[in-house]
Amino acid sequence: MNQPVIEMNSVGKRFGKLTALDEVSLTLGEGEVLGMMGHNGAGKSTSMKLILGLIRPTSGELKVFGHDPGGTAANDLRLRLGYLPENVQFYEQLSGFEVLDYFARLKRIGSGVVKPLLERVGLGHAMHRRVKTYSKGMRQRLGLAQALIGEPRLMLLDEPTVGLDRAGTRQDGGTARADGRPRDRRSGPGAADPGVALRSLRRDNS
Amino acid sequence: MRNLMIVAGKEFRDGLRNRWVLAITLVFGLLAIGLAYFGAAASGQVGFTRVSTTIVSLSSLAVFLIPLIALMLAYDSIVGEDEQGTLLLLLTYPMSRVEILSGKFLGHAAILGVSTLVGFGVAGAIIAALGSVEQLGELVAALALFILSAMLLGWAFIGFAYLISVSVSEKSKAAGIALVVWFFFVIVYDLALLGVLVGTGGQVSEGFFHYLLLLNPTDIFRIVNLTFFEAARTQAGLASIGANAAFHPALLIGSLLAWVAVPLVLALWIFRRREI
Repeated sequence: MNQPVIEMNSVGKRFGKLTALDEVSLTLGEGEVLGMMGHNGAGKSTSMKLILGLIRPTSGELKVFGHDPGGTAANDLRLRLGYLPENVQFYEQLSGFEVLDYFARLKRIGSGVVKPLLERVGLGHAMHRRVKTYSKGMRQRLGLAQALIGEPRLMLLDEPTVGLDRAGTRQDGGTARADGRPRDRRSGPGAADPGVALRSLRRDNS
Repeated sequence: MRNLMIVAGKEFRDGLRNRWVLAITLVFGLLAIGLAYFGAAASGQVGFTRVSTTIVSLSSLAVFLIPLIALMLAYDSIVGEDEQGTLLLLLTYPMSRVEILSGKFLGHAAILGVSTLVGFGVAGAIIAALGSVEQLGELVAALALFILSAMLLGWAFIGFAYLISVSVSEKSKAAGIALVVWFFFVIVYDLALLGVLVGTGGQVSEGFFHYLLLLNPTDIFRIVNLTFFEAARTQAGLASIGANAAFHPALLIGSLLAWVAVPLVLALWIFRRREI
């Protein structure tokens, strides 16, 4: 059975008088990468929040892995999701290791995954330093590592390349690909800066 | 339940890491020892004074300090995480909003509880060891009651802090409201009661007045600690009215517990409806 990962059917979302999303339909299958581009306020982050089940659509139908993301299966779905919010600032007083360990345990995963994940995003050397000493790019890498916890089957990355240098961006693509390709199941829309999004999309289709 | 404990543990570790636990413990400990030793300085002598005097001066200072510390500790609990983006992230993890808020509350309650217990407890031990305490039993009982009521008072104000924190969208606003709440319960409420009492020439029914005191957790805290010592009533001020009402200690502690529970439940209720 090849069930789509995300199915949006004329989904709309209104905040009072403001229409954030109007009749959006899309389908995302396993192994697909979707880049979402749009001007500020186009509804990219709103779409992600809908997919994450943080907010409910005011109209239309939305299914993630065949379930309502805000419904009773939410906790089960969330174990399979990885999310990187935009502009997230992690707990300054904790070290990178402690931050990731906290999130890993909340996802019911042992501390064993923390070190390899930090090494994968290139933070192995700084993992016992407090987050407040991290540069912008290092914080973004920590965020990516957080989204990768538990081998999620769907990753939602909001502006994932903010603060990353070119090497970081390439490495990021490499990380997603190294994980995604062999199992061929990682999917994810990401709101991103157009150039990078196009580059990663092209890579995926090549 | 498991996630609740993880959140609580992380919150407590934060408290250790940013020195909240150490700072509060030191303030409480030094305050208690200082008051015990210099409490009688006004009457021309220095040295450990009577237990009753110490507890009475301690509770009249703690009643200002504990609510302030509790509010400062927790006012940004939810709104702070919202501003830094981690609240959004936590909500995408497999746990409920009730678990997040209860876990954080438990962590903050532990920070204040441990600090209160250690700070005042160690101070009590030092007073018992160095001072000439005639009746050790009395000191232990008075201090135990003081610590218990101090913890409950602190937790009640952590509850207020959470209520503020889930209701606003900016940290600075939460800080402002926290200050107003502190000012109201610690100062304005008693002044207003006093005003009513004097303005009406004491016409207010006494029983009714007693229950008005139960509507303020800081007054309950005062009554609990002042009524323990018969001798202290002369110095009790407004709360001595409550002392005469001879509320049963269990009723007083129960009322304090209600003051912990009600703001917390309200905060949970609002948090579940909070837009993110």
